[in-house]
Amino acid sequence: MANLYLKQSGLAHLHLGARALADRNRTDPGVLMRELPTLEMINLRGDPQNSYFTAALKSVNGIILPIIPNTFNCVKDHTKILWLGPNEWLIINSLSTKPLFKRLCTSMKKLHSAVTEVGDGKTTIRLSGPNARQVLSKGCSLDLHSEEFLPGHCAQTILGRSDIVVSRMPDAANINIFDITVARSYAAYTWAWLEDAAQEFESQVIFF
Amino acid sequence: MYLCGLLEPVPCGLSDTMLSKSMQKYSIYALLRNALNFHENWHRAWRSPAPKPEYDVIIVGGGGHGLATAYYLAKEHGITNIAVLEKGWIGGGNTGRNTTIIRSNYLWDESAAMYEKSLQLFEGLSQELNFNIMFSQRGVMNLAHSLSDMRELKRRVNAIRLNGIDSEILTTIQIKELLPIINTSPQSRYPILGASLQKRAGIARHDAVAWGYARGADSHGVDIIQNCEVTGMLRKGGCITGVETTKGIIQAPKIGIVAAGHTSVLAAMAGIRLPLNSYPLQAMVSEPIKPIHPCVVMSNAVHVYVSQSDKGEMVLGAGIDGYHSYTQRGSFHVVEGQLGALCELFPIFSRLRLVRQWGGIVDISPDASPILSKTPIKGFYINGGWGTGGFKATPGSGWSFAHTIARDEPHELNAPFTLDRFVSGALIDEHGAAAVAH
Amino acid sequence: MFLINCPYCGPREESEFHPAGEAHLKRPANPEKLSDIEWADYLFMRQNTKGILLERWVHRHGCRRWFNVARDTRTNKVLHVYQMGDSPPTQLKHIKP
Ligand SMILES: Cc1cc2nc3c(=O)[nH]c(=O)nc-3n(C[C@H](O)[C@H](O)[C@H](O)COP(=O)(O)OP(=O)(O)OC[C@H]3O[C@@H](n4cnc5c(N)ncnc54)[C@H](O)[C@@H]3O)c2cc1C
Ligand SMILES: [Zn+2]
Repeated sequence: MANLYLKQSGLAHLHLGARALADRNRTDPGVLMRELPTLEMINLRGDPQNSYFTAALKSVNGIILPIIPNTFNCVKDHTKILWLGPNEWLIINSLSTKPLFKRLCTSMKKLHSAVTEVGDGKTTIRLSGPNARQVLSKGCSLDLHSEEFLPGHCAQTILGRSDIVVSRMPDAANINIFDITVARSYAAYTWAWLEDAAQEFESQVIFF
Repeated sequence: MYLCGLLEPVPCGLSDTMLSKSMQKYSIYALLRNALNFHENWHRAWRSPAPKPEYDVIIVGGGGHGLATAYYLAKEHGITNIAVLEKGWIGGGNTGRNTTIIRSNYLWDESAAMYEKSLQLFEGLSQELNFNIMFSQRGVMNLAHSLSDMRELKRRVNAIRLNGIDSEILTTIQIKELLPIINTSPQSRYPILGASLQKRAGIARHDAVAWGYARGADSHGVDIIQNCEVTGMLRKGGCITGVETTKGIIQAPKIGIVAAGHTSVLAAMAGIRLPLNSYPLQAMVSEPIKPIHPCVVMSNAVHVYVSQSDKGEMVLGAGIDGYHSYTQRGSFHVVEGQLGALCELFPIFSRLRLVRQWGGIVDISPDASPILSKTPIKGFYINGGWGTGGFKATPGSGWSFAHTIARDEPHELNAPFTLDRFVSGALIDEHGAAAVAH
Repeated sequence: MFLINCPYCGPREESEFHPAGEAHLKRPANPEKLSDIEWADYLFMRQNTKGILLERWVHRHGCRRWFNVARDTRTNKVLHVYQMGDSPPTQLKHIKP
């Protein structure tokens, strides 16, 4: 990971803080948009049938891999493990004080596996609100119906021509929350695309 | 594209028996004469005969290439006992689905010779066929968006000029002068650094090419038989003897396959494997607008090409859909990609409405060059693999294929385009000529 | 435009995938012993099937796995998907193209 004091988020140049300030008095927005703080992300590959592999993971923060395709698991509310393929996962860790990468590498040392740090190359846009689903549907061929794409579901797919990983977060109030992880180099485009798609619903930018 | 030509054959209610065998000449006088009869006495442009049991030559496929082959067989080689068998209607394949770009600025000597011969035949074709094919030499421009594009274009222009074919390099300013609506801003994502231009290149009306050759072939006595699908090949020893069709068995000692996307399907009926893959290629036209786009523009990097038909429609195309298919339709994201590219080059077109979109099935060979060849079966000839760019070759292809069939040996023009080259390794790599399919 | 049932992710729109042509082509064991004709046959000659084609696809914008597909090239209908290394479905062999 780059030195923290040098680090800027993928959308820093859009000055979303100022945008959020300008938007703060919006009433009844259909869509809320924000960029999540830059998080540690790790691409993990290995054999989920191998009990040494799964045990080693469990010893690091209690990670349990989702085996059902297109779903993710959470460890408490700070670590998210997304299924990417039959032997591939994306781990997103929001505890910046407790990075996982080194600990994972150590625990995987003697196993046939790959641990790759990918967080600096990506950012995550969170889209929520009553019309979030309609906005995504304009550029994504997945069936995002709320009975089909449930909280806890995720998918690697295309949004407006960019590759994304989209996941639906659990939420009590049943306002759809979608996290869209996208390559940093596409992030500005994806943000602009989302803003354009959200125009008819009145969007509001919020800032963490 | 449906352009209105002055001299279109008008389908009318006359029965075949009323038609004279000699071709009715189209001219301004004929037009005036027929005006007096309220245009009710025009002859059909070609007959619609029942197939005879036997011919000297059968051409399978009534597209431009098949009809041109029959025409030149009759005209240049005196062979007139010919049937052209077409499973649908003539020109209903890629001939009536293409975006009509005609040019001869190809890199390799073999291709340059073939396409230049075609271009020269196109230059006199309306007169030769007494049929207005609406050939318009408005120039074809290839854009460069990077220094390496620019170097590549210069290399091509040099190679092309060495073959005696016109070609030149344009600066960005010259491009803008010719085509004010193009976005030459240096700020754009793919800035335009220059272009190559072939001024003699252009477009023609595609159906008219098929109709003109059909009328010409018919006047020499060639039977054009539509709605007649070939379903099998008849062989005896190492020789071809005829075809099975939906209209019965028809015999001939010589058979030429000119079936574009279906070439390998027909070759397989005779037990021949070909290095061809068939893919959908899409194109589309917009609503007609006033003249705004005086030449043809192609961009390999941004990946789209555009021309404006005489009727005013913008004619658009780009690349193939990557999967094998015989469905004559393609996928939406391919259309989306090329329209994005279009608006990048011509922001003004973002407000244009499309009216039609369609697909054809193109047969692509490993070196993106055609196969005009004899085969291991005596009397069995193949003309295919024109892929995404064979409309421009229609006259030259028919002309040299007629020679190949009549003499049972290739003309020097098509000798390099044999099937053997995939064994010998003497490939003619023209992938670069069609990075954006045209 | 059609759906492909990725053996790993389930049904997805075709634009997420990339096609890679005829499946089950076998690289000859001793290429140096082949004649030029045999080598050309392996390199270039294809069935170009009009009917049920067995072909390879990769889920490029999804799980990035390769797999095999049986698709009717007359309709684009995907009839069957199966993993790399698996043999083609036998029941489809009876369907004449
Ligand atoms: C969208 C699109 C854009 C293109 N743009 C250009 C361009 O700008 N410039 C250019 O030079 N080229 C272009 N091309 C390529 C060009 O159209 C073809 O290379 C050319 O028209 C081929 O002519 P043809 O006569 O060989 O084939 P076709 O016109 O396809 O004729 C073959 C005929 O064979 C018939 N047939 C098939 N099977 C049987 C059977 N079993 N029995 C009887 N008949 C059969 C078919 O019905 C068809 O009519 C384009 C192609 C497409 C699809
Ligand atoms: Zn998948």
